[in-house]
Amino acid sequence: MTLVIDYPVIISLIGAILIGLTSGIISCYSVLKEQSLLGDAIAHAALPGLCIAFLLTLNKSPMVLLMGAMSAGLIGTLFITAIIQKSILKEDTALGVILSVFFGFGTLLLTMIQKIPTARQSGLEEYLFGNAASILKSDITIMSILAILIVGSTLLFWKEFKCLIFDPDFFQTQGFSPRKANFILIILTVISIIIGLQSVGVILMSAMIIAPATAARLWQKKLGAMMILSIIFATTSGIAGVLLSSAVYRLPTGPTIVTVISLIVIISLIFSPQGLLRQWIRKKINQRAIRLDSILSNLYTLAKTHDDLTHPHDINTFNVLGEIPPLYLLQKLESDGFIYNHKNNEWGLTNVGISKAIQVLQRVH
Amino acid sequence: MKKDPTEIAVSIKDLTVAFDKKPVLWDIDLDIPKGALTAIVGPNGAGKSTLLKAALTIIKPTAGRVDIFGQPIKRQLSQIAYIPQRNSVDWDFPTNVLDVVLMGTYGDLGWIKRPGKKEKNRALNVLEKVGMETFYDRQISQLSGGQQQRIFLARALVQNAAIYIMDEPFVGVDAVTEKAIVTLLKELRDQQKTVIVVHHDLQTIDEYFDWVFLLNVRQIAFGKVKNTLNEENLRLTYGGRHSFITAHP
Amino acid sequence: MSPIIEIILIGCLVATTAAIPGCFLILRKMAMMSDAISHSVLLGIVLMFFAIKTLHSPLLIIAATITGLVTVVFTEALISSKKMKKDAAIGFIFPLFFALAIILITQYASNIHLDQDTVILGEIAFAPFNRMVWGSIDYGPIAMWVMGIIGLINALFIGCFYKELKIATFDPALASSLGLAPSRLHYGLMACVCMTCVGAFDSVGTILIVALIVTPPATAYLLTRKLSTMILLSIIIGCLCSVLGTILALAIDGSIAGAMCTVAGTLFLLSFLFSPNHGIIHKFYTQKQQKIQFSAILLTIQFLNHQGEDSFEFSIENLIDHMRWSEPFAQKIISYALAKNYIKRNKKAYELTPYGIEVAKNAMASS
Repeated sequence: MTLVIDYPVIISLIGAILIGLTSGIISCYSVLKEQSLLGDAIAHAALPGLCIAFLLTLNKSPMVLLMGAMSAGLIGTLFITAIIQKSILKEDTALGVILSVFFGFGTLLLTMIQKIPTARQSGLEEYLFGNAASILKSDITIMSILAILIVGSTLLFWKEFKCLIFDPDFFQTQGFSPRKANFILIILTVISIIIGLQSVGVILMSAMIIAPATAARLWQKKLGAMMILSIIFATTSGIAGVLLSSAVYRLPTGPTIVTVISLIVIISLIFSPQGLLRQWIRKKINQRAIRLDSILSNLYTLAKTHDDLTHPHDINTFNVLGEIPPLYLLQKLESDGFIYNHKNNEWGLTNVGISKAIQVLQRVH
Repeated sequence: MKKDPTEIAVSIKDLTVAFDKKPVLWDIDLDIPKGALTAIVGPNGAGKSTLLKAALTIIKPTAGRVDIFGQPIKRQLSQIAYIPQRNSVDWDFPTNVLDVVLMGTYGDLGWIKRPGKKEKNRALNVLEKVGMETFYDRQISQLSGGQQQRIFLARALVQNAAIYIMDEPFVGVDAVTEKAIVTLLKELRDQQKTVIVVHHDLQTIDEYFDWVFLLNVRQIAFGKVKNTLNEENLRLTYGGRHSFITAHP
Repeated sequence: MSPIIEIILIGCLVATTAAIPGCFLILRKMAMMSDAISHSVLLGIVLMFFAIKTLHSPLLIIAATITGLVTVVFTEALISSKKMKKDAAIGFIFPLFFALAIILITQYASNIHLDQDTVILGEIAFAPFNRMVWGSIDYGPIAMWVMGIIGLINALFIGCFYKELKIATFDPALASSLGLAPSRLHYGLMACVCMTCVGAFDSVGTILIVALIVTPPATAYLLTRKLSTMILLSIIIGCLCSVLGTILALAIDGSIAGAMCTVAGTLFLLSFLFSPNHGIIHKFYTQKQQKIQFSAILLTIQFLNHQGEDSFEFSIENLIDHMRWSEPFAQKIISYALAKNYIKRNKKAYELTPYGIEVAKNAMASS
């Protein structure tokens, strides 16, 4: 593993940052709209567009390929919308059909292109899994322009997009057109996916539309902060992917980027403020509290049959009331001053314990 | 017809809404006078929410027109504040209370312009009116049902509209909030605002509202609560299934 | 058998195997789950390949099926943990599994048959070269046997639990109240999808199998509303894809799997446009007709409700002003209603005929 930061690597890195920026933004909107699988479909649908653009012009200039991919992505989206609106088929089926059929058609075209002698080196296969090293300076120029378009539109339409996603009906009663706002958002989504295809690839681009915002949402509670974090996550994984794949022989860029961003999601899932770890600990603490309470209330129930409420009982008699409490819980209660150890297995409530037990019983009933 | 059209806040003419060939609303004619506090009542599937949405141009009707103070609705949207059903939005959306209330100022701002200090102050003022001023920075997912409804109410109030249209505002809210909302609605009426509320609790209609519109796909009756909410009209609205409210005076 | 016939046969087997669980997937609104599964199984194949160093073992199918099921379980756990919405949960797990598989292939298995292109595109054209030879007898291509067995398992599963699956699909609450264990059926179905993806992986590749699982059933669903007919029809459509796809691929010298998808897409488009009951052309026409009929009845009700009022209510100007109909549309409805004898002319306005009154009353009574 040798890492050389030379000119081509710097170009790839700039590309990765641009992709991180745009997909970090669009990811937030896609995830919040619960339409993130649309990104998967758009990315796959772009493949035949790339091929047709190449077949028509026999030209591999980034502008031509981008236009082709973009038109195909848009046509795919239009088809999906038409299928959902005009037929009985549901969203998932529409996505599945368009994704697979467009991609299948794309692979058919791809095999045909490979048979054209002059086109053998077209490098279109790079688009399947992405290769950051194939990004050239001219690509960077176009990517930058598109990235500025996305960032600019997001800033301009900040409140519109937010309101559109949160409450589209209300958005309409405020005199806005949800259709127009939606259309702008779809165009931006297509653009951001197309920007990423060269580095991340058609097949895995969807991860860049889903993962960054999914992770960011677990940490942040405001859209702005969430978006910034989403951009940071996406950019980090882009940079890590480019550096790793240029350092390790044959390591493909796209899958590396996706693995890194997925790790970020997994870490967020576990360790974020709403994460599974905190949820688990809270649950354990609650369970423990409930067990402690039930020991007190059980001791109280047993003691009620005596005049002296502090009368000790053998904890093995608890089996009629439920579980026999383990020693460490009893010791915990003892050190809190709620119970005392009479002898061996016999425990009784202290006066503090009695009032606590009454509280517990009142809370239950 | 001869009345001054500006005294009629909402005028609905021959409104029909159909999905495919199934009519959801049949030929509704309704003139709601300015300053009326009106309940829209009917069984499930009567088309109550659809009536509101069609009146607000969210749904395109098959036929019919809606006028606001004698002007076509398209140009009058800013006169109306809409409060959708509370569960129609995702309360996990990453935003806070103040942000949601500010959405009520978006209509005035138009495209691109952002809310500034003036709008924020307006929003904080109405939050005080609904008793939520200390919650302005709270994440909306942490609110109770009643608090969510108050936020929606604040978002409508900040528009300073002439007409308030609400869809089931009392569903899933606590008793205190329900009373607070009713007080606010009556205040609005006293300020000559027009308030239209889809309501489902027949017991409270005559306590909360002045006017009632009975609807079951077709319109059954519209008028002052005491003249309109009678056995005959309820039977027409609910068919035989309204025995649970026969205790009503 | 000639290789071409064998390719077509294998294609038909893949299509049939895919179509059977595919019908239930789209009815259960889980079509995208097949996309997730088809990507994830690759990880299982790769990991098992490293363990046993051969691509020709039933262990590969078992490992891959388990990975597919793990994907389903993880995805559902993420949804029920409420940390992610359904779409994000489906879309999160499979890219990770797939990415890991690709990294493993490029790093450690680059010289073997398992290369990137085969993974995605499959190469059904090579399927006839891998033959099942026992002693000195040639029993035909291995792929045919593999797909045949998996197809049989799918058919047996659906055949045995047809009634249960049907209830669990259309009314899950009823199914569990009847003690049908919808979750066990669900995982059974998912196992079928996983096996199908694994079996087809060699011949049509990871993503193109999605086309065969989703598209023929979607096409069939546009043509029929009866479940058994739908399954049969999607099998026929799938086989048609195989036959026409192979011919197309040979004609233009392209990928057979890609051509099969292209045919599947074309057939889908055709039925989307021209299906006699659910195609959009038919729908467009009938909706227009229905709108005119409906509007004419609406007109009668409108007239009936306003009987005895101002004559303005009965004029064409009223329709334009109150009903917000365009003038040509109002004219069209008036002439339709006149032709149907719902209304008749009365000086400058119109009035209901006795028949029109009856129509209006009937319409109101039935709503």
